[in-house]
Amino acid sequence: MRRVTVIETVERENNNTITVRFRDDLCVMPGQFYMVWFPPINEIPLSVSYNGKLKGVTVKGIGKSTKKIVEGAVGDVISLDGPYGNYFKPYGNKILAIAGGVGIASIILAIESFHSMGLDITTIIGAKKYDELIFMERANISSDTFIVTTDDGSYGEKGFTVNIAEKLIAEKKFDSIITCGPEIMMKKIVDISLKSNIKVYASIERIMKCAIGICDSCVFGAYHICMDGPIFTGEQLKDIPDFGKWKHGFSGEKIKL
Amino acid sequence: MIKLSVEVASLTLRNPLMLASGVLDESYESMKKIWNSGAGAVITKSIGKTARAGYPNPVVVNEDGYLINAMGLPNPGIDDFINIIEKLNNEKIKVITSIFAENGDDFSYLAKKAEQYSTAIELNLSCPHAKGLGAEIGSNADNVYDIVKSVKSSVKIPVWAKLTPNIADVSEIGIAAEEGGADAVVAINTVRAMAIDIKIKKPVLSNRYGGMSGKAIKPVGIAAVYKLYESVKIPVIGVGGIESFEDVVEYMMAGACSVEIGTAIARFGVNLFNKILTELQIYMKENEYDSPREMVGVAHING
Repeated sequence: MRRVTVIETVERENNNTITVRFRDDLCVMPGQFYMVWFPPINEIPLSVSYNGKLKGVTVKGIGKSTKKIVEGAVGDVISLDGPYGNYFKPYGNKILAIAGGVGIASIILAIESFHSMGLDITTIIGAKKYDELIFMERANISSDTFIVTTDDGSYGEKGFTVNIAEKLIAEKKFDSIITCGPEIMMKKIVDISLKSNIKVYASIERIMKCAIGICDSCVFGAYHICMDGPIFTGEQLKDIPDFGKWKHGFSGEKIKL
Repeated sequence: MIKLSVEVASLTLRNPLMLASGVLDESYESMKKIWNSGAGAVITKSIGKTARAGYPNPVVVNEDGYLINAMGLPNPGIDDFINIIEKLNNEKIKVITSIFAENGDDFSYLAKKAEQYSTAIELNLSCPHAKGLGAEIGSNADNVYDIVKSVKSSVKIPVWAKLTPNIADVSEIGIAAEEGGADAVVAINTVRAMAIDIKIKKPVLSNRYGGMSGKAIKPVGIAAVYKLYESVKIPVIGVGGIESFEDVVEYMMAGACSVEIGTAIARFGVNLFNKILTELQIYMKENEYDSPREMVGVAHING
């Protein structure tokens, strides 16, 4: 049911990313998303990045609408629909979390929730450069092992999350892996996990319009992100030819990732 | 022995349930899934000459009993989409290609392109929220006659005209379609509608106006089908708010030889086709109908 709520705060994570906080009483599970309407700009699917009484969603300025939102064209209220989608459930005791860029916003609640259950969490956060790293404090506090990578070496280890992950997977015995970030990154993580016989869960993004399983915009193999996702298992992903390769544009056309 | 197959003019379908245009029908995977779930045919999203992104979000208002949408006819264009219907057709899936255009020439152009891989063509003369398209041209009997005639002279496969309920008398347009040579009429498309958020004090849909579908519009569809059944000799296909076998029977008794299901799939999932078919067979057995054909139009005095 669509409902309007007042924006309590707008926090700037970096020059291209903001977190909008608001009250919503519905129960949200880690990895679920809202359809958030920023009138009059647009309505977009956003993972919930803060739970509890004062919830939050984190927006990175990528397209025309998200840029407008990040540049400050946010009004006093937003309209929410949802929460939608499936959510991260812990599998095993030793969990590896891998986030690329703003992808951390989709898995930070899972990291915090798993940590509070007493599970052993290793987190790898990667970004192109230091400015693009967000939620580092939060992820650090809730992780037993915490590693940061940047492509240019401006912070943490120079290189990619995938390389660190591959090394760690070979050394430690993880029960499961959760990931969100650029799909090319997730594809590599999923391939490594499947080869190593470790359960893997990835949060997938596509253009979403209706969010209720009607419009076919977020079609993903035989699935739809809105109804069957956003989290998919390695077993599902290995049978989806589009994964890591193709997405659909606003008119349904195929676009190479 | 109960047989579920139906004839729609020269076409035979394995059962009377089709996927309505506009719902989960822009991709090969979704249409294949729905065919495998038991649909007698799948009708594609409406396709135009070139790629169209549709309207920005919000594009739907989802309430109990109804849905309002203003997708804005998003589609990748016929040249791109042809690959999808070719794949479906190669797997012997009955695909009915829905097309939209501004005039008869463009409708014919699209129909010719789709003909090779389509079981039939459905003309979208009824989308209630696109400027210069759909209901804006489909509300005028002369336009409808011209468009249907033009498409009929261009292709050999059956041509269906999908009609708008947003006019005073649907039979006037139905008769125009029949005179133009349509093989069947389809009623109804969505009902023009709007929702305003009283806190934001603006229409919810980015396009402001949308089309209403779902359970709440079934009586509008039933009335249109009933009226058309008495006005035209060509088959009538019923669509609007169907969620159960009872709804299918009601549409058939009003005069529909087959039906299309859309919004309910989002509510109940693709297994709805199988569920309705199973229950329909039980109903037919209990009421001694051997074929869906025997139910068509029985609600009419001379039915």
